[in-house]
Amino acid sequence: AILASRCELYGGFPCRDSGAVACGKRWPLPVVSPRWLGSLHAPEENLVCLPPRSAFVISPRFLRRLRMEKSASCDSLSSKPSSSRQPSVDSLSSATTSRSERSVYAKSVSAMSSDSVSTSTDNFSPELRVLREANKLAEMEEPPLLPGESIKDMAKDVTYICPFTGPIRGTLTVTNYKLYFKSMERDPPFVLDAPLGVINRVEKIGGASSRGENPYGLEIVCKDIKNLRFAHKQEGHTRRSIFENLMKFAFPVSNNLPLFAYEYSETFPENGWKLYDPISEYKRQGLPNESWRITKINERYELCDTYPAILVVPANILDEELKKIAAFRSRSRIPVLSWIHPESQATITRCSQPMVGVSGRRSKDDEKYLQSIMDANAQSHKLFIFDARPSVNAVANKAKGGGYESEDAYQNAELVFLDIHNIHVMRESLRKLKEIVYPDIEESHWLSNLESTHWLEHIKLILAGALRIADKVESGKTSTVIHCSDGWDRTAQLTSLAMLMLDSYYRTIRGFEVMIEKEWLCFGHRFQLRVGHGDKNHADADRSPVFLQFIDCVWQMTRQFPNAFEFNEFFLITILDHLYSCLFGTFLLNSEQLRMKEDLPKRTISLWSYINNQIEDFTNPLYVNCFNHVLYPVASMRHLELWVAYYIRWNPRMRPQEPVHQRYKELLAKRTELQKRVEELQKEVSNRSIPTSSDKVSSPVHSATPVQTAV
Amino acid sequence: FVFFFSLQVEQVKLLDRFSSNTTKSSGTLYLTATHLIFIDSSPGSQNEIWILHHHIAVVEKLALTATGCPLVIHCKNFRVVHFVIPKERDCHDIYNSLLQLSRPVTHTELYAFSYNPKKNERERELGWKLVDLTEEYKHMGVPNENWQLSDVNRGYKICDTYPSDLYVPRTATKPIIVGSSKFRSKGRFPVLSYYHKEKQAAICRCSQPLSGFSARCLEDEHMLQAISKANPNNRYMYVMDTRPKLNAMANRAAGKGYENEDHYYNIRFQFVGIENIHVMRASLQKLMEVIGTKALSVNDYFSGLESSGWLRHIKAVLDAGIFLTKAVACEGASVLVHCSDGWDRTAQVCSIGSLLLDPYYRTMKGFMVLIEKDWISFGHKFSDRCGQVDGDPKEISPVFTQFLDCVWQLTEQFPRAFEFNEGFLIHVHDHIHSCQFGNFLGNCQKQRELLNLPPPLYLYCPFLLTTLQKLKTKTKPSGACSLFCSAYLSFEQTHWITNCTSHHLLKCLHECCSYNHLHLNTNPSYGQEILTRSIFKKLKKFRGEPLDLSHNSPKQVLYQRSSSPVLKAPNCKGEHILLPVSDNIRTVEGSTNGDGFHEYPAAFVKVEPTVVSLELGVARMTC
Repeated sequence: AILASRCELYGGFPCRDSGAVACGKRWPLPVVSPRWLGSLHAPEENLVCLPPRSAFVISPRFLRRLRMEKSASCDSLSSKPSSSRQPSVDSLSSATTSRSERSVYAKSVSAMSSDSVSTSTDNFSPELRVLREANKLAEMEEPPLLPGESIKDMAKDVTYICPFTGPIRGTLTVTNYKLYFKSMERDPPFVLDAPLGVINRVEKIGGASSRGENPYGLEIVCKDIKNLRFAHKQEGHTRRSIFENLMKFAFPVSNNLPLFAYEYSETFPENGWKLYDPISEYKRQGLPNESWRITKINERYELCDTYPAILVVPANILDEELKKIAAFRSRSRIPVLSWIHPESQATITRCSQPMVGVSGRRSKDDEKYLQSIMDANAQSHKLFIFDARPSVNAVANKAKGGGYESEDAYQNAELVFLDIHNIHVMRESLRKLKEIVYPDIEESHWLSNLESTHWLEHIKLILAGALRIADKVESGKTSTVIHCSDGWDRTAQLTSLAMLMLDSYYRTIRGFEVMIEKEWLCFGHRFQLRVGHGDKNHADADRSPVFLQFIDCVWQMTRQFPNAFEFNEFFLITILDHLYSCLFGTFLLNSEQLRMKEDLPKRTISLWSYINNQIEDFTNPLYVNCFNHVLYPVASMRHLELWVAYYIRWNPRMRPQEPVHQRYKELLAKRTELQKRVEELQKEVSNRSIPTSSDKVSSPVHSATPVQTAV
Repeated sequence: FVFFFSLQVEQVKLLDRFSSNTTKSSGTLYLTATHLIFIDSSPGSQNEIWILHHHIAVVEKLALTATGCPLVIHCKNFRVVHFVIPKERDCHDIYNSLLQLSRPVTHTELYAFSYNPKKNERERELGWKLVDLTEEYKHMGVPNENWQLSDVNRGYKICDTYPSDLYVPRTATKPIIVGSSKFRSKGRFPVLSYYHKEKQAAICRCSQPLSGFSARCLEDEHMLQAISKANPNNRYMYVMDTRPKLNAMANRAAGKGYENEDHYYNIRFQFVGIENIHVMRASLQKLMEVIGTKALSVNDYFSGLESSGWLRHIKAVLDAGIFLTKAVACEGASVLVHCSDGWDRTAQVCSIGSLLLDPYYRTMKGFMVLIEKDWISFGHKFSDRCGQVDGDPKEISPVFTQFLDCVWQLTEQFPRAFEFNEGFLIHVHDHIHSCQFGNFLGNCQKQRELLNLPPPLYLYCPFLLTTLQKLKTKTKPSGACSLFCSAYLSFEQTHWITNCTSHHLLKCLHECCSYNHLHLNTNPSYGQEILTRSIFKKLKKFRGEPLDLSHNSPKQVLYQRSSSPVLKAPNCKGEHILLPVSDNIRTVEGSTNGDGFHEYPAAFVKVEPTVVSLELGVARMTC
C-alpha cells in the first residue's frame, strides 16, 4: 500500500509499470520536436504520447489482477457484511508491515481492494452511491485510499486539460487528502494524483455562459511548479461542489479543520520521531567537552521560544549570563553550537542579528560570549562572523533595531557579508522560474530566460557562502558565527550546507534526516509560515522557498560528488513532496515548542518512519562511505545546473526514458552481491594465510579497506 | 622514448588561470622533437604537463611583465596553459620553435611516423586488421539478395574520396553507377552506409546532385529508384538534405543543388538545416570565448552560451539523426543522406543514426567501427578539418568534435546504453589531433594509401584497446588501491575540478583527464571487481597453481560487461528489449548461486533498447 500510494503521489517516478510501458513494450519511442511529425506522416500508433510524470500508468496485467482481487474481496464482503471494514484494514496494515512481501502488485492491489470495500460501506453519500452503481466507468475511476482517508466529492465527465497531451475526460475525486483524476479513455488509464497540500490557490474560470472549447472550469495553482486545469460541463453544477470541497479540504487551517496528517493512520515499524535525539547527536560530536557544555536552560522554551530545549554553549558562560545575551539578540536567539570539528575544535555557531540599532548599542555580555566561543578553539585567535545578508540590508536593519556586529566592539572578530538575498527575492525568483518551465519551454531563449530568473545565481551564492564557512572551519581551523536577520532561514541553509560539506555523517540517509531535524526543525525554521500548510492566504508575504533552495543546493552537491552521498535524487524529491503534502507531521508548525505543545509525535507520523521503512528506494548505489572527507563543491555558474528532474518533472518530454530507479536497484543488487563475494573470499584468504605467517593475515583486510572506500 | 632536448628553460612559472591562488608552480620547460614538457620542480610536487606539438593550436606571446615574458598556449583539445618565462630571449626561442613545430608542412613530419611503441610486426599488423569493414558489412547483413559489393571504385577510378569497396543495390548496373557519379558533386554517388537487417531498410549517403536549376540525369534517377526498390517493405524513400534550405538554393546557382521531387520516383525530400563548417567554426570560437580565460567572473554565462549557438547546432545534428532513425525504425523506409560534398554533415547524421539504431555501435569496438566506416573510409577530411598539416585555415572545423559532443549528450540521456564513458570520448578527441596513429591521418583512403601508411604506422584502435585493457587489468592490490583512492581523493581537491574547467558542455574534452577517474562515476562495482581479482590472485599464490575461475565468479560477469567487445565481437545485434521491468524486481539477494549468475549477465550486460530515441529539449541538454 505504501508503495502504491507512493507511486501515485510522486508522479509515477518509482512505478515499474510506467517504466515498462515507456521503455520496453512500447518500443520504439520517437519523441522529437513536433515539427518533424508532420513531415513524417507517421502512423498514429507509432507516436507514443508519453503521459506526464504525474500519471501513474497501470499495466493491463495489473488491471487483470486488480479485477480478480476485487471480485474476491467482494465475495468476502458479501459473506460477512457487518465486519467488512475491519478485516480490510487489517489486511492492509499487514501488507505494509511484512517486509518479506516485496511485490508491488500485491501491495497496491490490497490497497485498491481495501478501499473498494471500505468506501462502499460508509464513505458515500446516497447520491454518490447511485452514481457509482449506475456507472461502471466511475467505479473504475475511483481512487485508492490511504488509511484515514475518505472521499469527499466526486464528479464525472470532467475534462483535465493536460498541457502536454491535450484534454482527457474522466472522473475527478476529492478526498480529505488528495485530488484524484482518472480517465479510462486512454490505455493505459490516465491518472493524476496530487495531495491537496500542494495546492496554492484555486480559481474558477469562465462563467455559465462562456463559449469556446472547455471554457468553464477550475484552475488549480500548485506549490510544486505545476498548474492543473479542469473543465466542467456547464449544465452539471459539478464545479460548484468540487470548488467548495477543494477550498475546504485544501485549506483546512483556514477552515478550522485538522490537517490530514492528524488523520493519517498508517503504521510503520520504525518511529521516525525517535530518530533524532539531541543528546546522542551532540555526544557523537564529542560534546560536552571541557570548553562546551549542554544546557537545559531552554527546557520550557522560556529563554527563546523558537529554539530547541537542549542547547550547547561555551562552558564558562553561566545560565544567568545567557539571559542577558538573549536580550541583545533578535528574538533571543543567542549564539549556540551547531557543529564542532572533531580535531581542531573549530565550531559552527548560529544565532540571530544583534540588536545594535541606529545608536550602535553594545552588550558586554555578548562580546564576552563571542570571545569565549573563540577561546574554546585553541587553534586560532580569530573568529569569523558570517552575516548572510547583503551589507545594504544589514545596514537597513539598523533602523529596525537590528544590525550587525561592529569589528570595533568585537576584538579579533572579522565580519563577512555573504550577499544572500531575503525571502521575498527568492520567492519572486521561483515565480519567474515557474513561468519559464511550466507548461512550455521556449527552446530558443531557454538559457537567457533561465539566467533572467536568477535562481541559479541565488543557489550559487548560498553554496559559495557555505563553502567559505566550511573552508574557514576546515582549513583555517577558525570558529565561525553565522547569522542573518532572525537566524532561521539563510542561517539554517548555511549551517546545514557547511555541515554537509564537513561531516560525512550528514551525507548518509539517517544523518541527513538528523540534520534536517536539528538545523531546520529544532532551530525553528518556520515551515508553517514559509510553506503555508493548509492556509488559503496564498499571497502571504511570509511564504518563501527557503527549504527548497537548500535541497537544491544539496542536489547540486550530489551532482558534483556522485559518490559522496548515501541518498539519491529520489530521496530529495520525496522530502520536497512531503514538505507540501501534509501527510506526515514532520514539517508541520513553526518550532519545536509548538510541535511539543500540539503533541505531534503522538498524533502524526514522521516522514522518516516512511523513508526508513524502504530505505533501498532512496539509496545511491554509487555511494562510498569515506570518513573525514571534506567536500568543496565548486560554486561557479558553470558548475550549476537547473534541477530538471524536479522543476520540469511534469513535462513528459523532460523525463529520462530510462527509469533511473531501476538502474539504481540493479546497481545496488550488484553491489551487495559483490560485497558478499568479497567477504567470502576474504574469509578464504585469511583462513589460508593463518598457517603461513602472521603479517599476511592482516594484509587482505588492509588492502581491502581502501578499495572498498573507493568503490 | 628517446628525448632530444632541443631546448631547456629553467625557472619557468606556470600560472593557474582559474584559481586566484597566488602560489604559482615553477619548474623546468623542455622542448623535445615531439612534446613540450613542463616539470614542476617544487619539492613534493608531481605536476608534469606534456603537450604534444600537434595539439597546439595557437601560441601567444604577451607583453613583457616584471616577472618575465608570458607565453600562452591554446591547445586543440581546449587546454590552455599559461607560462611565464624569466628571460625574453628564451621565450622568443620557444615561441619560434613552437610555431615551427606545431605546423608541420608534410604528413611525414607527423608524430605517427616517429611514434614507436616497440611492438613487433605481427602485433602491428593485427592492429590494422582489427577493424575489418568487409566483416562489419557482413555483420550488418550485406551482401544479400538486394545489395552487393561493387568493384567499380577499385583503384579509385570513379570517386577518389570514396573507399574502394562499396555496397550498392544489385539492380544498379555499372553504367548507372558511373552515370550517377558524374551527376554528383566530387563523384560521390549514393552508396550504402548502414543496412537495417530487420526492416531491410538502408541508410545511403552521397553528395549533392549537379542539378542546377533544371538539369536532370536519368542514371541518377535510376540509382535512387534502385535503392528504393532494394527495400521490399517500403515503396518510398526519404532524401535528406542536411543543409538549410537557403544554402541548398544558393548552391543551385553554382550548378549544384538538390533533388527535384518531380523528377525522382517516389522520394520524399526533406531539409534538416545543419549549418556549414564555417558557422560551426565560428560557433566554437564564440563558445571558447564564453567559457574562456576571464569568464569565471562573468555573470551572463548562460546568455553567452546561448548566443554562441553551439547547443543549437548540436541539437540540429541530433534532430537530424532522430529523423533518420524514425524513418528507418518506424517506417521501414530507406533514407539517402547528403549535404554538399557528403563528408561532413552527412557523416554526422549517418553515424548518429546508426548509433541510435544499432546497439552494436554503442559498444567500444562498435564505436570504433562506426568511426572507421562512416568517417575514415568515406573520406571525412580529418587532415584538413583538424589542421594536421599547415593548410587553409578555412578548412578547419570542429565537425568531428560536434559528433563526439552529440554522442556525449546521448550518453548523458542514456547512461546505460553505452559501453564507453566520457573518458573514452575525450581520448578519441585527443587523438584526432595528436596524429599519433595512422587512422586519422590524411583526408581519404586514397591519400592514406599514397602516404603508404600501413607498414610504418600504428593504429589507434589497438592502442586504445590495450590502454583500456591495461587499466582494467591493473590488479596489483597496492596499485589498484592507490589508483582508486587517488581518484576519489581528487574530489576533495578543489583545484582538480577548477583546473579542468570541466563545466562547459564538452566538459570532458577540456583536459587530458587522467584515466584514474574514468570509471569512478560510472562503474560502482569496479572497485569491488579489482578487489575480487586481487583476492583471487592472492588465493592463487597460496595455492601455487593457476586458479580456475569458475564461471560463476563475479569477475567473469564483470569482464563480460567491460571487455568482451574488446576480445570478441559482441553479438548484441538484433532485438534487445529492455529489462522486463514490469516483473518483480529481480531477486538479487538470492542470486549468488551459479544459476543467478548465468541469468545476470543477460539482464545486466545487454540491456539496451534497440532504438535509442530521445527527447531534445534544450533544457535537457546539459551544459
